[in-house]
Amino acid sequence: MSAALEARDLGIALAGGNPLVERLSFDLTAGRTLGLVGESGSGKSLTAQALLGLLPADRFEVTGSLRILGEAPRNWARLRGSVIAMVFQEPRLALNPRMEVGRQIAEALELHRGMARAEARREAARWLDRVGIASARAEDRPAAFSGGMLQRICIAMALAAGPRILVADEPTTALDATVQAQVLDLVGDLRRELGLAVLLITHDLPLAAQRCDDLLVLYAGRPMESGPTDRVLRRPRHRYTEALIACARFPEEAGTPLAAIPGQVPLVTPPSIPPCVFADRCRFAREDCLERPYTWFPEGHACFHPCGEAP
Amino acid sequence: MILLEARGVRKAYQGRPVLAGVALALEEGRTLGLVGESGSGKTTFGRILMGLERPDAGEVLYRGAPMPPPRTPAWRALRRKIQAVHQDPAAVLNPGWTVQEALEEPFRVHGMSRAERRARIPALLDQVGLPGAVASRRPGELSGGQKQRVVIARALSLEPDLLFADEPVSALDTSVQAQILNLLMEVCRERGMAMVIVSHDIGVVRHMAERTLVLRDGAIVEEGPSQAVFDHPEHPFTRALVEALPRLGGA
Repeated sequence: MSAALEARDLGIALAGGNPLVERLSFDLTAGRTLGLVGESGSGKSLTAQALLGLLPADRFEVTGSLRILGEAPRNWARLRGSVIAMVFQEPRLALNPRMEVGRQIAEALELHRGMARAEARREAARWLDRVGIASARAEDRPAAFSGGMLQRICIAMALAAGPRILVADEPTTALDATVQAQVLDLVGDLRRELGLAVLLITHDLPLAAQRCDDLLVLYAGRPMESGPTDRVLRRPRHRYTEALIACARFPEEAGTPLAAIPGQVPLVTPPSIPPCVFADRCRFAREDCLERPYTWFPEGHACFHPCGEAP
Repeated sequence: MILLEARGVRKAYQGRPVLAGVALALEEGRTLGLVGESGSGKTTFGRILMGLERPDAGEVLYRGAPMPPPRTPAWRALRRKIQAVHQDPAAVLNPGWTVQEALEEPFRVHGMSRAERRARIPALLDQVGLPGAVASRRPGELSGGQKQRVVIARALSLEPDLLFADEPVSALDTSVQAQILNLLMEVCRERGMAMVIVSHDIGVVRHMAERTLVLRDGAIVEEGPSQAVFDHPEHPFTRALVEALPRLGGA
């Protein structure tokens, strides 16, 4: 079965500047969730914007190949909403504060599916109901809802026109833990029901581990490791993945020192084709880590002395 | 010895109750966790505990004496002893000031001479694991973790008895969070300083705090040793919190 979205050697750079994302390849498949996991500066949100053609062409250079439903995207205005849709971190910023929420969903239906106003209103009400908001509240404006409810409304708005691909960029980061779980349950249910291909972008490794079939770990704009979630967690190959997993686990005994990665996430993206971007923080780094060019190994990692091999 | 105690604290805003009679007791040198979701009243409770706001009813005692009214001389003296670290270090640090200036400010406010102030900075930076060269930088040139270290250094400068850490690592990268949590544990232990840590991350609270209060709708629904509270939660809300938090399986 072919991928709903196929990215090959995706690169993003500021026009004339250093690359911000480099050599990113992945597939989004119907009915599956890929987790794009990364810390700040990893390029995960830029990647999301590139997938929806949202990066202004006068400022960004996007290279590599991108295929959506088997074709190179040309008419973004037609694709966005009807084929590929996005949910953002801040639902309040994604909605028009002055418009009734039912109307906002109905507009998406009129625009992308050519529905008449009355039909779009009925369909919007059905969608509100589907995401757990009483359809009687269709006339309310965003200010009348909690953050979790607004994110449900955004999900309804994103999915109403029947896209095949959903890109969710930190969709629950701004929500309370119990609400976060409910919203992610909803996304999972809709993925199964509608056969959606989902890209879940998050800084939260435990969250990605719980919700995704596959993981792609980014650091400083480069892919570090990818594979099925279970394999990546149980047998990480890249030393960065291993260290990140250790950071997300608390030791059995309370009050004891936590496993920390020394140093900082790079503030400035390293120049093109660098040696390992994690080498300066890696406790297994050797001299050749700083000299050899970046290499993506066939097993899906970019580490010269992977876990499980003598350092 | 009890350092900070709250009894029957109530607070309402425009007739809407935010805290409906909450209490706590924190011993010197101990760490207490405060857990709750938005609207639970934990921010208000924190402000009352720090003496920034007065409760409508109930009382807050510091070393057994009532918290003095805000902006009185007694209150100012006490404020030195209770310092805070917040979620977003960028919002706390003046972007136009160097780290040196940011760290000197509390000393200046409390009337220390310029020479005396200067002499203290290297040791402060060292204590929070920052190189001396950082002193001449401005916040924009620092990473999130480095900025939070500066904020912690500033909080420590007046040698407080109590550190109020409100989501101290939520805005930081995963790979940097553990560094900052380790630093907080270290400085508390070394100085015998008490800490109240507020976090949405139960793992953080369970690891850092000996005791935890779970706050919901302005009331404490569960309280006890942190491990017992999270490993065997009794209240349905605590159970929901524990179940909602994604975590990686054992190593």
